[in-house]
Amino acid sequence: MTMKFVICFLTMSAVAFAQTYKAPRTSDGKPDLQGIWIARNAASFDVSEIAEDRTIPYLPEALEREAKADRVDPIIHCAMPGVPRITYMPYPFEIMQRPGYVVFLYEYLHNHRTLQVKQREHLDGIDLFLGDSIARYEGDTLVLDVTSLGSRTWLDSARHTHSDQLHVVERYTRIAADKIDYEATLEDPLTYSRPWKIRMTLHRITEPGFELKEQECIEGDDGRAIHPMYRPWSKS
Amino acid sequence: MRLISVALIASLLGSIPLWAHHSFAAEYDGTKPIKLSGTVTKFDMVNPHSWIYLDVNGQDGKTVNWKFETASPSNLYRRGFKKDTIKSGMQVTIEGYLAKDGSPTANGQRLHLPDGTVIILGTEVNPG
Repeated sequence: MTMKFVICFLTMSAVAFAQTYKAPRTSDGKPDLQGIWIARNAASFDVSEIAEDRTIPYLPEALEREAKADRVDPIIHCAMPGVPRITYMPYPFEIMQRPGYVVFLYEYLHNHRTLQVKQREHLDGIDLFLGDSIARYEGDTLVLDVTSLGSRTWLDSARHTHSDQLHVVERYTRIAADKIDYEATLEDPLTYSRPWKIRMTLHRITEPGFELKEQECIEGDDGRAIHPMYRPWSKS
Repeated sequence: MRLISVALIASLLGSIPLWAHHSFAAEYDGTKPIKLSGTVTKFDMVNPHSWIYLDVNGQDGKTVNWKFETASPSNLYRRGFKKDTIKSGMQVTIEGYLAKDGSPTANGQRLHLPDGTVIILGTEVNPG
């Protein structure tokens, strides 16, 4: 009972803290999210770690499809990890803003999203690993609405898959100088029985002079992938 | 750790060369143009290059499933080629260049749709 009270108190404090913190503003008055950020979790191995109730509401037919899916994580073949996985890959990424634009630069496989902040229709009839993102601000939150993600990417190494109907809404809210609250809602009528959420904290890297570095994935001449992340020894 | 080991072994056993991004000259022979008509069996819109699969009836009566490498999704999209521009069962003609390895593979250069529309399939490096 006491524990429940303490947890309740801590949760309320966190909410109160989040509500009192006012994110700095960019020159055009938007919440300033600029900096180098990283997720410090293992969601890239199993996304259920950050899922609401640790549950992914799979449809039975989607589970069947998943069971028959390729056994190899696409990133082993140097494929781009898709959205939302790119955000919780264990590599830093940088957010840069200027009036009308927000840019996400990911160290992992030099992925990027260069987004104009404006209302427009989503692309229709195209599959992209990182999808088609439309950016908007809602108060203190940057919202990215993402579609056209195809069906090739996995949400993690644990073979949590999706169809090309996946629609992700990402919400980035700076809740402290060094923290962004990241929440994403995933909707996919061919895979999940209802929309479901993931949530995690993104941590700002405060080390002075820290910069993104090159990170690459090379496929061998025989078509087999050599991924640095999974290469525990060198040939010698 | 077990997950990593499984992934590693799987990656060593598995081989999906179609994911690779190679130059035209490494894969195709620019002196061997071909033009094939057939029935679309699949269109795979994916980076770095999309693929069109075509059942082609040969003069020997055998049907061979050919695959044509084409440009990236963004290149095709900007030319008006969307995911549903071609569907399985559609009769199309594709011009391109043969693969060097003798397999039924070619680099697609021009797609002729049933209504007469022609779409450039090549990448910007080798626009056909």
